[in-house]
Parts: sequence; structure tokens; C-alpha cells
Amino acid sequence: MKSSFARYLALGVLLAGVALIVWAAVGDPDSAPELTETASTPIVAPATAAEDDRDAASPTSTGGDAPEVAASTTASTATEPLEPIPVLATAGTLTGLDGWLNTKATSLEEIREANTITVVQFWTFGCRNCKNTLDALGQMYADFADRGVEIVGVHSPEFAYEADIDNIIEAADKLGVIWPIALDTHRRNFHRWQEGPTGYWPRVYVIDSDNQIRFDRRGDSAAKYRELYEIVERLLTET
Amino acid sequence: MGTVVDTFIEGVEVITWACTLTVLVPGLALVLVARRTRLTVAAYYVVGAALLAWAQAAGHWWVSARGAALVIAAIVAAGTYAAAWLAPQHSSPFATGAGIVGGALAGWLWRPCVGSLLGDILNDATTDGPRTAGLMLVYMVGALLPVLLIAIAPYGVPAIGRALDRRPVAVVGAVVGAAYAVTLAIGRYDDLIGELYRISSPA
Repeated sequence: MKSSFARYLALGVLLAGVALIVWAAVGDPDSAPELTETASTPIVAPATAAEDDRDAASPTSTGGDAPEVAASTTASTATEPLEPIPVLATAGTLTGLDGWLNTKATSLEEIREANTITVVQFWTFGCRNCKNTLDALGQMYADFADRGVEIVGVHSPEFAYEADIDNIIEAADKLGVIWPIALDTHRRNFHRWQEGPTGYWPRVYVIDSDNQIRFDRRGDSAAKYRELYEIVERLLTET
Repeated sequence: MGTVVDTFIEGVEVITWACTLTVLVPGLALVLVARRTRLTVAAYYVVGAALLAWAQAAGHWWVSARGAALVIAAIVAAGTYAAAWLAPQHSSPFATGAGIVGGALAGWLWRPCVGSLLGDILNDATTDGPRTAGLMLVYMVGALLPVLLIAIAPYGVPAIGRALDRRPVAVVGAVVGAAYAVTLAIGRYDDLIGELYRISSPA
């Protein structure tokens, strides 16, 4: 009786598990995960979106005071004064690159000097979560590029086929990545910028005019990218 | 509860992604090798992978997967497959060790593509340890579901168990394990996975 129950239980788990995997696999494989909101969601109302993200907003590993960011973005719907956006760290530079695409600049410093705010995202074209963020970045680029905001996509490939320059150019064209791309083929900057022994795709930083990191997030969460939009907008008004 | 379920689902959704194959393939091979202890090895593999992935994000593990560390990792990987092969029963320390060390090794080598909820786990890992560690385990249960299902399958369908018990199946696992160890030692494991993914993915 007992072994019969165990057998049916195992069978049930097996069938449920297989069904779940099939469901996940046959769902649109090139789209964002359905059950978790991703950054491709259009940015419509940053302030309201920040409220939605109240629970999800979190401190980063590079600074323990990031909740202030969440608090400040949440408070933006009220009349209370906004709390300052914390400084998380001093930004590094990009070295040992294999070149640049979509720009005549040859260094991060050049781009920073020509702009007020620089958004640096580590990505690779084969990473679906990275692709999920591109609509949000594109929207931000369209809204803020002429106000002194530049995006730098640091392309750090995970696999050999993602390191091929022709593949990168083709993917960037197909994905609509029109902002500067720094080619970090050997992942030197990918590892140097991210603390700890590993790195993550995508990861995005906002660097202000004083070369300070004011925003740092891993993942493709739409709420986080709305927060990014709002932080950039606030930093623009502050400078 | 909703976060737990969503985290599990996010894990399931990335099973076929190239980023996940780096942690999934060694686990599948290990479970095939562990003929008499599949369930123990699978369960501990998931725990080990979750622990190391979380420890790296939380700043408790600082060894980079480069140079000599990769050679040591390759030797350890080979050892886990040998231990899984030799483990006589579920209570054997060989089974537990193979699972937890094999999983930890995979979790250490894993460089994930980060979705919405995994991003929250990683972003919060330094300040909210217990919750994020638990959620990382839930995520790994989802991402490594095929490993667990292969271990569970013989209990529900004995015919699958008889098929998996055949020596050639274990040999296939051992060959994959050997390839894993060799490519780790020469620093080409990512490239191998990437090439496999590229070949198996539609253009």
C-alpha cells in the first residue's frame, strides 16, 4: 500500500514536471518569460511604476543604502521632497577592449566628457534577458539622447559564437541597438566591473557627471528599468 | 507564496537556455552515472548548486574560475563522477558528497543570464541572506528540474528505472562527465556548451 502510494506520487510528480517543462519550452521561446514582468514592457508612468516596485526594490551588493532609491522613487508621487540618489561607488573605466561600434569614440572617458549621464550595460546578444531590456533602453535613448544621456552597451560574450564581430553587428542591427557598443570580447571589463568571482548578464550602471555610480542592477526586471529611467531623469534635472 | 511559485517558474523557463545548460548538463550526467543513488545525488546536486550560486552573489565565495582553479575543478569534477559511480546506496557518503560537491562546482561555474526574479535574489543577496538563499534554492529546483525528474522517474515508472540501470546509460553519463572535466581543465567548457547550444538552436 505504502509503496503503491509512493509510486503514484512519483508518477504524479514526474508527469507534472514534464508537463511544466513542455509548457515552458513550447511557449514563445524568443519572447520574455510570461509570468514575470520584463523590461520590454513600455515605460509609461515611471512614478506609478515605482510604486509597483515597492516590495521588489532592493539594495545592491555594492551599496547598502539603495533602499533610499526605492523610497525616493516611491515618494515621487507625493509632495514630499525626494531623497537624494545615493552614490554607490566611483565608476571604473573600460580597458582592453577590442573596439567600438556605433560611435567614433574610442574610450568611455570620451563618451563621458561629451555627455552628462552615461548608462553602461553589460550584455551579450545571445542572452535573452539582455534582449528583454533593449526596448526599455531604446525608449530611454529616444527620450534622453539629446539631453546629454549616452548608453554604452559593453558586449561581453559568454560563448564563442557571440564573440564573432560579424554576428555582433548583425545582431545589433536586428535588435535595434543603435547606441555605442564596446567590444569586451575577453570579458576583462565584465569581470573587473562586477565584484566577486562571477558576473551576470544583464547588469546596468548609471554614471553621473562626477563619474559616480548612482544606479546598479542585475536582471531584466521591467520595474528596475523603469526605476533606471526615473533615476536618469532625476539626475538630468539635478545637473 | 506567489514569489516562491514565480521564482520556481522562472527557473523552469530557463531550462533550455544556453546559460542554464552549463549547470544542467553536468547534473544530468551525474545522475545517469549514479545508478544506485540517483535521488540522493540529484537532491544534493540542486542544494550544492544553489548554495554556491548564492554564496557568490552574497560575497561569501571569492575564488574565481580561472587558471589553476580550473584544473583543480576538473580533478574534483572527475572525482564526483567516480564517487557517484561507486556509491552503493542512498546513505553512502559517496552519494551525498558527489551530489553536493558536483552541484557546488556547477554553481560556481554558472554565469547566469538574469531574469526579473533572479535579479532580485542577486541584488538582495548581501542584505537578506536567508530569504534569498531559500529563493535561490527554489530557482535551482526549477532550473534543474530535469535532473530531479530523471531521479524520480524510476519510482513512478519502473521500466524507466530498468532502462536507466543499464550499464551503457551510465557509461554515457561517464563520458559526458569526462568531457566536462577535460574541457574544464583546458578552459573550453563554455565554448563547448555554446557550440552545442548553437547547433541545437534553430537559426
